[in-house]
Amino acid sequence: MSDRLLDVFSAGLKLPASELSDDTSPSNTSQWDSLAAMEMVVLIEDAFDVRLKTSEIMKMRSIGLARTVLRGKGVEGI
Amino acid sequence: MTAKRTVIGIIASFTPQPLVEPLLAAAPTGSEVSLADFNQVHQSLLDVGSSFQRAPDQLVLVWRIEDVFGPALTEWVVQDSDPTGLREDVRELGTLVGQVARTHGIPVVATIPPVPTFVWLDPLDARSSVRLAVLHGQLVEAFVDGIGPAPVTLVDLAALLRLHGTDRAYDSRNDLMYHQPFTRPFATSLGTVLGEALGAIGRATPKVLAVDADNTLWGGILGEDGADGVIVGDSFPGNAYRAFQQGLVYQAAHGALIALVSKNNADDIDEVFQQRRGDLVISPEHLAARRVDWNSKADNLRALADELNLGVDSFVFMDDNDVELDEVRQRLPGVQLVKVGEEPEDVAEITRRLTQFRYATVSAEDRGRTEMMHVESGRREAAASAPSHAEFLASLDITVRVFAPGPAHVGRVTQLINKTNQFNLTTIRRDDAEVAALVASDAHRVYAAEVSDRFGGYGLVAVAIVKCDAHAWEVETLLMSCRVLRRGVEDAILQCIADDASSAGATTLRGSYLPTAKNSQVATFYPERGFVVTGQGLFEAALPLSVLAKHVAVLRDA
Repeated sequence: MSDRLLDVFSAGLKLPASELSDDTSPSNTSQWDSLAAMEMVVLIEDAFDVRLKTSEIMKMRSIGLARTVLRGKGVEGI
Repeated sequence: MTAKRTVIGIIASFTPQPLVEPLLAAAPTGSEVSLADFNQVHQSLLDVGSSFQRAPDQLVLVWRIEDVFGPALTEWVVQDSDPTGLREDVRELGTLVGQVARTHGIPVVATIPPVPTFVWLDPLDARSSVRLAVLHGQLVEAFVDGIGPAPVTLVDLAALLRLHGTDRAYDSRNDLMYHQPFTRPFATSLGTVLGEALGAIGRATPKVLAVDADNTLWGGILGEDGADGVIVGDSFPGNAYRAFQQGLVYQAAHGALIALVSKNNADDIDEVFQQRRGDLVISPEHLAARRVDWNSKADNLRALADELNLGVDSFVFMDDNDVELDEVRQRLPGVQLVKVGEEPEDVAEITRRLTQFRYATVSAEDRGRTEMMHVESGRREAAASAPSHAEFLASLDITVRVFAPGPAHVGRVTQLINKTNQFNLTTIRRDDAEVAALVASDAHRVYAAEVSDRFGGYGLVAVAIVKCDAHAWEVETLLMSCRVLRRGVEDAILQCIADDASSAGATTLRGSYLPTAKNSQVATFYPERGFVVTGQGLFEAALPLSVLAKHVAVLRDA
């Protein structure tokens, strides 16, 4: 079964999901710039039906940390 | 072969990326985007050549007052400073835009900035919001004034914001984190509007808005309901047609020439304009041209185009009738068509929402043309007859069922006898009892016709009453609803009468025409079908007779 969160980041970063992991972050992925971040906020909000606050976005410094934030907001199955 | 792609340069006072995809989707195909550095509005305009990776063919400027003139705006809000300096700065920005468009020869699409969000609109703080609205108006005026005469298309970002609503359009989180002040849906909408504006550059704008009268300009059928009876006025549902007319006047103010194209008697239309002046918004002065006659709409539109020296692609045509619209669609493919619906709310909205004239400007030439039209149309005779109206008729697949009405049809037959004014040769009115007696009579035959075409059925729309003597049959009544004029239905029913008369051994068919104020269109009905004049309004033809047109299929009941 595919990882929904990796799929979202794959779309936002325009990278194959197979190249992504919970360790993927702006520091090891040049595609993860501020424009991609803006795009991914929209994609994450649409995919998981949540509204992210700025403080939550700031915590998402890697895919794994994004997963933690979303689980903290009650998103299930990721 | 690689076609050269059109490069759209975007200068924005905020992060423009979310606009790009919808903009390209709405812009002409073969376009691509090149972005200037964000919020370098002045620098980018001053040095278009080095601000983009690829030299732009078209330029988009999207800006907000608070982004470009933040400090001066803050000062005005906080210290109530004189806004003259700010206004001059905004005018200078407009001047820069105009210069780019003129000197580089690059078409520019520029936004009117929204009301600054610096102060959130608070309904309970009316003084502040009014003060801000006044400043906004002054700054917009200065910006537009600064642009001057230049190939610049203005897109009203403030109006778009009002349409969406401030709460739905702004996203302060995105603004703070990414300098992207808008929600995604609003950014998409803005990008689309900008793309559409780019697509409209260089495209010819229609000039003439041709409108039908019955069930379009007003409700009802003038020929049947009379000038007093057509629906238009202050109360429902007449107010829907008033709103429709208000929209027309609005379109006229935005560059459309309004032409009336109606199948009616010209005198009847004048009667409405006189008698119903208080109920109408539109008046003869609003009309650049009129074609009120019984010619096909396609012929009349073509004649108008010739008269105005315009192509038919300069015309937008509004009508409620699918058949009229379809004839124009087939014969004049360049004309843009707008169908007027039946629901009052649709009628009321449709003219306000027309987008065809949105980029039109009213030139002095157009105004002169309106005056010229008034003079010309007063002189002109009805347009020439339709050369290929027959071809259109053939495409309609018209079927006419001619039958002897029974008791169940008497009500409808009587209604037509008493309501029909225009296509009515003798205008003899009869009540139910008289009609029932004629239906049962041996000395008379009553004919009814039901009509259908590929758009659907029209029901029982024509009636004839014939007195049958041994040697001669006499058509006492022949009438038809306006809804099926010029389809050949009248010939179908006349042919059936003539055939029946021949079969019964008669050798002569007689008819008469009694003129009224409304029925001038049938004055020459019999002569046009080979009848000879035998007296004042009296005609006859030798049997057998052949008048049926090829395009009509006739069904007879056994």
